Amino acid sequence: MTFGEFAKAKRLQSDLSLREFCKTAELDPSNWSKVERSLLSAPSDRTKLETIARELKLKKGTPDWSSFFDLAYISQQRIPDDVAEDADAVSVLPVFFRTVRGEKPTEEELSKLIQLIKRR
Amino acid sequence: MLDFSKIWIPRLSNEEIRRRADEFRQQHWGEKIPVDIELIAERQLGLIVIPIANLRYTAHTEAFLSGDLSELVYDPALPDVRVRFSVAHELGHYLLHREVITKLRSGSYEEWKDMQHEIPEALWSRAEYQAYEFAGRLLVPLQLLMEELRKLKPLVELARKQLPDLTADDVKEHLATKVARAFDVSYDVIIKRLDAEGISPIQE
Repeated sequence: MTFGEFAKAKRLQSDLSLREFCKTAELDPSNWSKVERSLLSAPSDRTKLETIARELKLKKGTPDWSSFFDLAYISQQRIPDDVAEDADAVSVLPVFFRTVRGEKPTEEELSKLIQLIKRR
Repeated sequence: MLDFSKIWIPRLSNEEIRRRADEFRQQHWGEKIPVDIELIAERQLGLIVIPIANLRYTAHTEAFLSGDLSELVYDPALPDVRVRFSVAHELGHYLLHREVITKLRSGSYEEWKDMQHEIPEALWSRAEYQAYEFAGRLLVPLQLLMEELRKLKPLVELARKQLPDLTADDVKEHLATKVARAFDVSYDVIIKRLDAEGISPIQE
């Protein structure tokens, strides 16, 4: 299990949605989502990690607390995966999506959306 | 080129869409408000919820469900109530339109762009309407909406006594703001639910 998978499992066990958790832990939801998907490493700052652990309702001295920090350390040693491969991006292209105008997207909007999806 | 004569979204009555929304909520959440729609998407449906910064600004898009039905993407900079409604809307597509979404998956970026241009307006509009109605009823269960309105009845009676020329629309607008907080949705969503469900706050 990766650090991201572990943290996500604990968050969901605590009945916290991604946004709610990020609000209380003062994290950027886009970046934290990448940490949970193992696209970014765990934060390296010990104080920040302790804050996150507490928000995940982990108790100091428990096996979960140790696993959290062990996995964070392992995560910091590896080079994160590169931005999603093209094949991954094609498979997630949406069929329906709402534009701000409530209309079908333009050619330009489609191209920009592809770029954003590749970097998600 | 796709043959859209063989790809269609069945017409669903409002009653049927609402029944499915109620059934889904009862199964995955129960009858309490506000409905934690983001938690349901992740925990109950196993969707990967991904906030993409600048989605609205860059691609003029607020949210979408991935073609492989595994990811739900939204712009985290949107107001809370808007994110919640967008997530509920995408769950509407997930539950009502998965068959057609599966048929319309593309193998390349060019194929996907062509598909987006070729989707008939009528099919696209129907899908959007159904997902919109589903989302509204999912976040605002009818019985609980009535209950919230009943709680505010003394306030309405007092206001009408003090201001006899208050119209039904005045009352509706005033109550919608208060009721919206209980469901954690926007004022507009409550106004639309009242209209769609045919509820007059004066009678309730």
